[in-house]
Amino acid sequence: MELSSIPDAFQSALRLSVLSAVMMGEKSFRELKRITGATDGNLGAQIRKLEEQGYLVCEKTFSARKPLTTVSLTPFGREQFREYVELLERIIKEATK
Amino acid sequence: MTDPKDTLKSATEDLALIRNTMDRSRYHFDFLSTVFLIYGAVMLAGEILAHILSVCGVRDNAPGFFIVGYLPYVFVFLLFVFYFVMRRKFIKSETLYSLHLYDVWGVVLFFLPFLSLCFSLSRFFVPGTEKVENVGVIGILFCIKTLLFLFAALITLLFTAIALRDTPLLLIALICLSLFLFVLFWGFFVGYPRTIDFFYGELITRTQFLERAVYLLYVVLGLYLKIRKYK
Repeated sequence: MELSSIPDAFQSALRLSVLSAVMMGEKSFRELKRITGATDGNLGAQIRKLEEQGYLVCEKTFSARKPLTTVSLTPFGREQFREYVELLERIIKEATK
Repeated sequence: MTDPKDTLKSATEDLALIRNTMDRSRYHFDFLSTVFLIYGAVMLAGEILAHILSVCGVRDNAPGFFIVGYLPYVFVFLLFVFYFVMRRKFIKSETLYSLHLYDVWGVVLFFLPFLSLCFSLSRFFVPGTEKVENVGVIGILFCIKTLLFLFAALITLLFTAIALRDTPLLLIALICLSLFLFVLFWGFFVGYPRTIDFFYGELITRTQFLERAVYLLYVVLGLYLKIRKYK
């Protein structure tokens, strides 16, 4: 990944937060809401975008008869996230040389 | 063209955001560390009290017998109620994966004291402990109980290590220690002579020692998870 070609997924703080949270393991919608502090509508829209771009997978199940949406990272999403963190570290390293 | 200073600022902010979010996304061990700590401390205190009462010679008196035999179970029951209430709260926000983890810990922590209570009550249903064959049966029950305790400790540690992801050395050391004790006691269980002297001597001493070691392990685990939270 290069500075000139950073994907859209990493250009919003909320999308970056969602990806960082899901990097630690699958999360429920409520968990993501607690972690990011975003509203239902905004969070839902960002998750949908990331899902369309192939970064996330959403699964709808039931827990104690209540609907539960779980979000997890795809292998593509994990790889892209790793590359983005490497790019950030490279920028900081080069600037502090 | 983007200003390098802006690029650096933006990169630093993004990395800070990633770190903060990842920190907030870790499993919350606060509640579980309290459960481990209280459980281990109460059961260990019960064992120490039993030893003191035994030394004073009042362990088998009516109040002494109740305190030693059943009071720890009352505490465990109260702890179970606390665990159950907290679990109901978790259903609303946690993932199925973390809920399953909580369930495994719950089974390990609370099913075993229940099993232990059943074993101690079983003595009333095996009359005549002066007979060699009956002592043999009770001895086997004692050994199975201790093996289950060690196995449960092993499972608890393994699941904690999996949930922590960055498995620390302390947990690896505790896992190795419990595995070693389990294998050692298994060997002892297979080959021990089923005699009255051996039962009232070495077998009881060994099972008591191992149970205390397991309770201490839960205290260490609870303390470790609490300290880790503030790091």
